[in-house]
Amino acid sequence: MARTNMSVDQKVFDEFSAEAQSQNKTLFAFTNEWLSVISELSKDGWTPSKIHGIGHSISLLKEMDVITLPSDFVDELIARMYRTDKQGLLNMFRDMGSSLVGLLKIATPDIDGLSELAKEFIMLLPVKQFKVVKQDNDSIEVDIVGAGRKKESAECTFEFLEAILNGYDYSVSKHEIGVGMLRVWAYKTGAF
Amino acid sequence: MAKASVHLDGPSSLEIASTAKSEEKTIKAFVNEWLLVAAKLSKQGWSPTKLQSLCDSFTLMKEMNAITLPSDFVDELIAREYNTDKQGLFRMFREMGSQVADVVKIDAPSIHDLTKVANEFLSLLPLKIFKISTDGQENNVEIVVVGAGKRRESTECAFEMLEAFLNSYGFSVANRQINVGTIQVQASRHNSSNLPTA
Repeated sequence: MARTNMSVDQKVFDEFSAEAQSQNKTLFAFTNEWLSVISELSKDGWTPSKIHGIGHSISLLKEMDVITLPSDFVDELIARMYRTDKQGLLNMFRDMGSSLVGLLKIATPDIDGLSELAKEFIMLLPVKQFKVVKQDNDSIEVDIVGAGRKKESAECTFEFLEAILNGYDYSVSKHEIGVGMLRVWAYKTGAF
Repeated sequence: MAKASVHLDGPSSLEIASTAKSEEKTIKAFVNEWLLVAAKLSKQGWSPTKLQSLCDSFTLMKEMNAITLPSDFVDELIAREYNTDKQGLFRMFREMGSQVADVVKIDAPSIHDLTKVANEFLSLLPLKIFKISTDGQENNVEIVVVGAGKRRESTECAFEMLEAFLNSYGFSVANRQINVGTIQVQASRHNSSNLPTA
């Protein structure tokens, strides 16, 4: 079979060939295996940073049992429960936020990293945008687009987000909720 | 920076060159970027096949506009709604089963392909086992699911979804065994004269 040489940086070569060796594979076989899949993934629109992101998010998700559901279905389930037990539902979302803070803080100990972390998780959520913007040293603005397709879902997302912000020692001073969108202003607790 | 070489077989190198060109990158830049990511993923236990499966499942998720939630949380949501409107809840799961089947059928046109799709999704579902066995002509199937919720309500809902799924593939459930977290189902193709034996 004809072979082609491709030039790579030494550092990349060292890391990659070390992995081939650790798996008892020839570098030729290992390279071909990976690059044939990579070529297909790249054609489908995947980039190295997107791949790195999902790899990281999956390793975090392994810490808990998760289930993936169509978001319209979840919106409908939320809307039903909202009609019969709104406070119970909002408390559930708040509790979920509080229970996830510990895991999030392992990935990003301070709030500045949440935007970057959200980019990795965005593929697991119907969220179009999650942005944390520092207003000054002690206050932030959080913008979410894609927080469900019903107002009830956006309200639940707010409860969840507020619990997470509280976990990072931020308190919400103001918020705006619309269908599918959420904007929150928060300040570092004890700053004012 | 010091350079080294990797060797590729002819077809692979052509593919890489073509893909790099379509992204307006040099082959070297493309290969450097990707091999670095591949080395990191490999260290974390990923293989090219597993990565391909994961990316396929993410693509499917995007098509379904899906959301990933802690399964305990979803169990609780289901349990509360079960106590309020059980039949309405079952209807929702049946509708979801039919809609998801329509999307899944693109990648899994036959019942036997469902195992592959389920395995791709395993990291995004709390399922421990999803096994499909068919007879030679695929007229009868047996499906075993372990990890279908931690409460009976969730498992019952998962059954409703699975039944709708099977209906979409042209199968009717003949027998079922449901316990907390586990489902065992025997189903036969609609209008098949080969019914499963007890």
